[in-house]
Amino acid sequence: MTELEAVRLFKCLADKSRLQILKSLAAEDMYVERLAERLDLAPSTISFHLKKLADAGAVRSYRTQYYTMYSLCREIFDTRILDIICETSGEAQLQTQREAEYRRRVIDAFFEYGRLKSIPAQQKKERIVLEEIARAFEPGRSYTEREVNLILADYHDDFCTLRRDMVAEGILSREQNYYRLEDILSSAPASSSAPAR
Amino acid sequence: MCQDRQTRIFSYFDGEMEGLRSREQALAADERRDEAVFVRVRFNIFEAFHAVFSAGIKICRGDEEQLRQFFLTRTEQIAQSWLASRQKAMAHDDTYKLYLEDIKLEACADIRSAFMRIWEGSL
Repeated sequence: MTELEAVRLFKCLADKSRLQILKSLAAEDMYVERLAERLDLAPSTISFHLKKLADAGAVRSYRTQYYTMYSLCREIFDTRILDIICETSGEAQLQTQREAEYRRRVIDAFFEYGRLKSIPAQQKKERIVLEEIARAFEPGRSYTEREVNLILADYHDDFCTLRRDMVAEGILSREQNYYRLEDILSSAPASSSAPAR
Repeated sequence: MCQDRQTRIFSYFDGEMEGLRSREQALAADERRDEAVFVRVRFNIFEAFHAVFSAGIKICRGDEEQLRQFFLTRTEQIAQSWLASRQKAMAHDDTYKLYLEDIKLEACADIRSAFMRIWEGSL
């Protein structure tokens, strides 16, 4: 279900008469006149509501010998609201794209030939830079402080600050003098032109 | 006599409009927004035709027959545009518009019918 379809469905459901129609159809398939009788509404009003429900994908119609019958689209109502919210939408893709472009600009600005020109003062930018450097660490492997320093020294002379900030940002964890890469890279968008090492 | 007809027509409009207003409020309070909008549409037609009748009284200056003709001609002219709009909606399978135009035309027919009955003294 697209975002637009979800909005249309929710708007459509926000009406007591339409909910009453859906309740009736949940019990059994019905035709317009029968719904009109049950709900004490004019057949034309019922037809209007059914058209809106059909447009939103909530009901469908089929012809029998005498009547046009309406039935509930049960698959729509089997969908969890959380699934609708979590579904990737055009807007979400756009947001991800904007975020990736921003990361690219920060990386281009702070790295030169694979080395860090300076440590960003802004926390948001430093985080991006540190996530980029973290790609030099192998997931699941334990590193001594000396090994960490050697890796970080390739990026910047102030490797102590980088190391401390990586721990503070939760990118590296430290336990009993050993450092490990935390699982943060899966959430960070991959950089297509990561600094060459 | 003329004054009496006018009073009865105004009282018909006022009574209908009051009923529609409270029905619209009740529907909105009952979370039946679309139906409340439809009632509002009907209310608007009554309000517009009330204005047409008031304008007719000023223009016709006590000439009863002229007032009757004025009201019936004007309301028919107005309804023509709704009829045209309804046909267009039908051609484009626009259910919502079609339903709205039906409401307007129905309100128009109801008002004209009540007007005639009041005029003839049968209501």
